[in-house]
Amino acid sequence: MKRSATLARVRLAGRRQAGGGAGRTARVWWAVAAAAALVVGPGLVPVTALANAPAQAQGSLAQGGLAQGGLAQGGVTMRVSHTQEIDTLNPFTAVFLISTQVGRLMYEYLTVNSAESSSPEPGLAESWTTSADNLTWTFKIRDAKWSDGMPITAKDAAFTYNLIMTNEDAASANGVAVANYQSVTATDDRTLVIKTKAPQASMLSSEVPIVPEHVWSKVTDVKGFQNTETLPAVSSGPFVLTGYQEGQSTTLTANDNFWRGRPKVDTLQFVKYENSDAAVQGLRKGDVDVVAGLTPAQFGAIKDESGITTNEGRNRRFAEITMNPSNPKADGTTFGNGNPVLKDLAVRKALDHAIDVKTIVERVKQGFATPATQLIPPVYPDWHFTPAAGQQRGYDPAKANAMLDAAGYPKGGDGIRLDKAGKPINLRLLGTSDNSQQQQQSEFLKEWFAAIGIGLTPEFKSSNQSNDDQNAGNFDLAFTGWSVGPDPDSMLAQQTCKVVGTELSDSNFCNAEYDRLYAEQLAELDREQRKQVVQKMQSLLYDNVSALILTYDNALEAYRSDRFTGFVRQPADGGVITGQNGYWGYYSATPVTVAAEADDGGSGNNAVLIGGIVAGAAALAAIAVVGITRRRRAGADERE
Amino acid sequence: MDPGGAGAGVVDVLAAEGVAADLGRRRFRGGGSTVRFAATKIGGGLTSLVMVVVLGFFLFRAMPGNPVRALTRDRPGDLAQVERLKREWSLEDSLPAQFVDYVADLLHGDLGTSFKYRQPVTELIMGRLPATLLLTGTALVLAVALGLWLGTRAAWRHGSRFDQLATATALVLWSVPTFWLGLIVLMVFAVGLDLFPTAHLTSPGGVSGFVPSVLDVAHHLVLPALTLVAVVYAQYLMVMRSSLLEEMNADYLTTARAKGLRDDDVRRKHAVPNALLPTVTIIFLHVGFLVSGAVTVEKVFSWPGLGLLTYEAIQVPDYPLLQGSLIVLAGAVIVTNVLADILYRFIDPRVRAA
Repeated sequence: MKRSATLARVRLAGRRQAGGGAGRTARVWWAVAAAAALVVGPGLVPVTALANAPAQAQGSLAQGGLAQGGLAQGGVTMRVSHTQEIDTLNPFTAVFLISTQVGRLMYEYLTVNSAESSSPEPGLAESWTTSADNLTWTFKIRDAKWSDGMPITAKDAAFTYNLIMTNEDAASANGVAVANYQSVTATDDRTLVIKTKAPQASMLSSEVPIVPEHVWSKVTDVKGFQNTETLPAVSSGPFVLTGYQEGQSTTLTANDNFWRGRPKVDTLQFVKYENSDAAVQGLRKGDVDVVAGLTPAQFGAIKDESGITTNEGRNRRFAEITMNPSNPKADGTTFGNGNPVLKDLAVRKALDHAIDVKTIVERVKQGFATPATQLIPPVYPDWHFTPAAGQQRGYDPAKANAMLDAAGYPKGGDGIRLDKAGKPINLRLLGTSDNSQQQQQSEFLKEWFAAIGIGLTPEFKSSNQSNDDQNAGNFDLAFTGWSVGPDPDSMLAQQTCKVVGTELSDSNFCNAEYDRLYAEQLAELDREQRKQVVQKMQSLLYDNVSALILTYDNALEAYRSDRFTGFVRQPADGGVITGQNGYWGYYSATPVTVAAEADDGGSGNNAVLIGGIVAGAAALAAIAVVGITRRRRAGADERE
Repeated sequence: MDPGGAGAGVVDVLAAEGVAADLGRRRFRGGGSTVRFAATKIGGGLTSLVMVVVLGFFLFRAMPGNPVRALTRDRPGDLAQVERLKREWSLEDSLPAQFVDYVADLLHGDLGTSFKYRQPVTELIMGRLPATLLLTGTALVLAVALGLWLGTRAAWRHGSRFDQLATATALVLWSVPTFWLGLIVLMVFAVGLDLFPTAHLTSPGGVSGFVPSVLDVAHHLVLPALTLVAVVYAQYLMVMRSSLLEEMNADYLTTARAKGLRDDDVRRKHAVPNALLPTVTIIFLHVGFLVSGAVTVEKVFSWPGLGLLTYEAIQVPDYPLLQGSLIVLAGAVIVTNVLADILYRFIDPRVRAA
């Protein structure tokens, strides 16, 4: 009788168990029952919380996580996913792209990059003038307020710059911007004077976050400061940092004092997804509202989904194959072991002619890219280079073969050309093993190079190993690519002689005329004049085939258009929403219906939770009854 | 409760193996050397830990990778900045000099400062530890409970349909790639049925109040824990099943039945305690690895665990963070192994005798 009663109760709990009674192992059975409840009912949410010892500990854990994130989040919340880690939110030390994206939203610069074309326009500085010798810049600071209501003055800007100039720790992220500064002073509350050692054309794109002196003068250890110690973190941009959960989420709240006006989104959250597939699922479900960095496959899969709008944005990245032309390093030592044939311009030109970039765009990049000309992508119309009619090179294997014949590289028996020493020309192509696009490209390249009699051996390695090889010069050709900033200076500097063989070099290119032009453009404060020089420099790189520059890759993004709209793109014509050189995309986001959407996800979850609590409690009660009965039985057994 | 239950079972085994007489003689000397035994084991553990420290340092530096390149990419940079970073991270110093600095800091309890996060390594690791243990601990408890229960049933009625079904299901789940299974679980339960969130330990930004936050974490824990349990419980099931099968025909079970004990009691009081030992061994092995997290599950469900922290540190490579994680992970394994060694002495008389 007893036995069947027990069985019935076990059935109540949703699991069929053979046999009855329990003794010393009762605890195990309790755990089993809890596990069974978990497996049986995915809706039995709280069971995990109530039935397991480890889960009990999570109360304090969640509290800990909340310490910084528990601020009231009224109004509309927009969630943006990211996969890159946030290194730190301290604007003096943050270097990762996502961290500087968040930084842009928090701290205004003196000048910002326009949504239209990334050209400089007023930020905290309303206007500026330069002295006749081009060495002194005078900025007029806007009459605006910090998020805590204190006035923003020129002294805050002077404090920020001087901190970077005098404190090595504060120079980690933006030291380069002030390297050429002689002095920075605030002559009054509205006037900031920057004296430079030499003329500096890139001044207005320096992107230094200006911090409030009344907060940061109290920070003693700038290097270790995370900027999450005291929240909200006082700032001047469209949003204020109000919460941070390491490895999970960053919460920003609309800044009522932002000088352009309060953003339309009340709360902006950056949530970290560890893989983009899960982020796409999060978007489909509505856990996140904006997702960037999609693969073509993901982009295609959600393209027609209702409520979601995809955006193929023109971006600021270019993809290339760099060569090791065996130029010596600045100290005169040789750089690595590149194949000497790459010193020959005829060979580099022939390789460029052999590549059918259109096929790469269509077959490998699936149309989400455009053929590239030079370093600076067309999203920067001021600096982008278009070769002249007669200068243009194109896919032309016949011409490549003719060039190699003329340059004295005869074909050997197996169709592979021989170098000057009579050895077959076989080039190594370095790539990273986790990049499938590079692997696809290498298959095409093998064919194309074979057609002009040049052997190609792709070597796919871990990204760390590939970094090491590129740094040591142990490669002939290597896949790489760069994200280009609003001022061309940095990218152009990466092609100069003094950085050959260092962490900074892109192409390991070295040309005296180029270096002269580089200095010239940096000192040329007239934008129109500077454009001419920058064109000349890229023309020189193009004619010398400093690298095999392949494509400008578009950024693939998607957002919940049933919740948000009105995103301003950068560039305005077909640009990106995330990853901008500015805050335009997030600042302009407009809720579709302000009232209805505010707590949609929340109430749904609550329903599940309430259902879960009831079901979980029922299951627990059943388990308890079973457990008690078994204990009693066990006692009876022993008495027997 | 009667400790004789386990004791009697063990003696049953020994009798079956015919070594009881031998043991009886040696058991008397066993207790006296317990302290020396523990000291030896702890000493061994400490030696291993020192080796981990030394090995970790040189291993990570022999690994390819250039932190300066990784952390200056795609940003305006100049040679002065490169020099500054190399100086800050002592990358230009000789390896022995770096090692001496590292050990000196370590002796002060300082694991160094992460290159990437610019935060003390200890803080980073401690920050990730609770979430890691919550996930792996919950999964271990559930997997062990489920594995032992199913394994016992399967073995007791081996060959039955229950046995076949349980074993096959466990093995299929065990063989399925974790990442794939995780994504399927995510698509079905989080997106399709809309029952659970797609990521993280808490709702973004957290929720306020104690009970709501406990429920919030529990809600987020279900899918990762479920995935992890599904993937690992087979090993407990299989070990429990096979060790119980070995006991099935033992004479002492016949004796027990002959005494008139019911089948359930035969299983529970005689067979299972004897079959439990190999399973306990595996459990101890896995307890040590709890700290290291579960990288794949963490990656699918964006769970902020130690496994991911370490994995992402490799890509820099962030030497201080890698060294710190290795010490913590290896330390946990070493400590549980020493504990297991010592505990065995009490659980299993054969160890005392050996």
